[in-house]
Amino acid sequence: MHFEKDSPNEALDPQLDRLLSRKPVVASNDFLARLHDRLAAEDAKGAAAWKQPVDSVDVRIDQLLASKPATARPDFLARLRQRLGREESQETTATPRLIRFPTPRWAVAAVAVFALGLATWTQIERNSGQETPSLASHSAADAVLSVDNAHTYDPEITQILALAQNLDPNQELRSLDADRLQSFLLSSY
Amino acid sequence: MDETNPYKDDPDVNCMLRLQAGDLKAFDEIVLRWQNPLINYFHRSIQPREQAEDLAQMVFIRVYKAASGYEPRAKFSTYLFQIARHHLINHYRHQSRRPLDIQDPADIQAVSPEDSTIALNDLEAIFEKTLEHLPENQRTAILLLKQQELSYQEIAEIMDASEGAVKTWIFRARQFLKQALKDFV
Repeated sequence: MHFEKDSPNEALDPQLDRLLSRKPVVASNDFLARLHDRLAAEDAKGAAAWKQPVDSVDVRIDQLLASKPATARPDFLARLRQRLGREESQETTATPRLIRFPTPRWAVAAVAVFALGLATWTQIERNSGQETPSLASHSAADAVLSVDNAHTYDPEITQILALAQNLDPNQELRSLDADRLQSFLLSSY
Repeated sequence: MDETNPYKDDPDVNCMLRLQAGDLKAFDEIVLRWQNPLINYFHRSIQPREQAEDLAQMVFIRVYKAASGYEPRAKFSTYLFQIARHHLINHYRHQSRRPLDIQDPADIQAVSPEDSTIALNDLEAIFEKTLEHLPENQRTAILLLKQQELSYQEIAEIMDASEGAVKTWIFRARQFLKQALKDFV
């Protein structure tokens, strides 16, 4: 099939061919150097490769991987190399150590207070479950009423305890403490 | 290298295999041999020249990065211009300044001598301006044939088309260029 025969201006063919075949542009003198720089900028590993002798182990790995169709994708080795390089650098910098989390001092103090409080509360609750109901859980009138029950021991001491408790109704005086105090006072008589 | 490799006599294929084995000098040999053809191929499609050089460098970077997985399945020129055309089309897409689809040259307004931009009476300048009006597939096909002296079969491989389609594109390109240049020659 001779397309040129169909041309309306066959006289132009030689001129056109001359224009088409021309290569008027010549590469800059530093084209290759700039290309090297660009490769180096794009790939740090590539940058090192331009300046260092090629590692024969690397070449062998490349050949082995490239021989398998599954790993023959153009970017496979590049990504693998990048990943291996990254892991290698992590291994060289990593040393066995305990993992420590930065903890503010106030948090340590808060935890200690909380633990102490929890222990105290647990102990109190346990005791309150075994002992008589606390005075603090009742109103002042209840306190007086409960102290009234203690008249069998000593009306005067019971009166003192009731007055002391009623001076500050918000103060928590557990029944255990009241009993202990009363026992102590009674024993001192 | 494999003795059954049909491209074993292609020096550039040998360079690629050497590069694959770690010989970086082989890459330089490829660049020095192909930098001018590649830059001129781009220069006929895009301006300014610096942009043509930039695209040529991107092609070589692609070649370098792909070397590890390279398999000689075609002549190196076919492989190289496949990558080059891919970059050119991507460039057009990013620039959105060139028609990528097939466009009938008859529909394109031919460049006239009165056009102020081409009143330089410089045939080379007129020719460049006219080439720009060609659809990408026609321009690439005729440049690969005439400028790079590739065969129809190679061009068809590069452009992922049939040889018949390539011949049609080249014929239409010639028709258009002749029509546009007849008043200047």
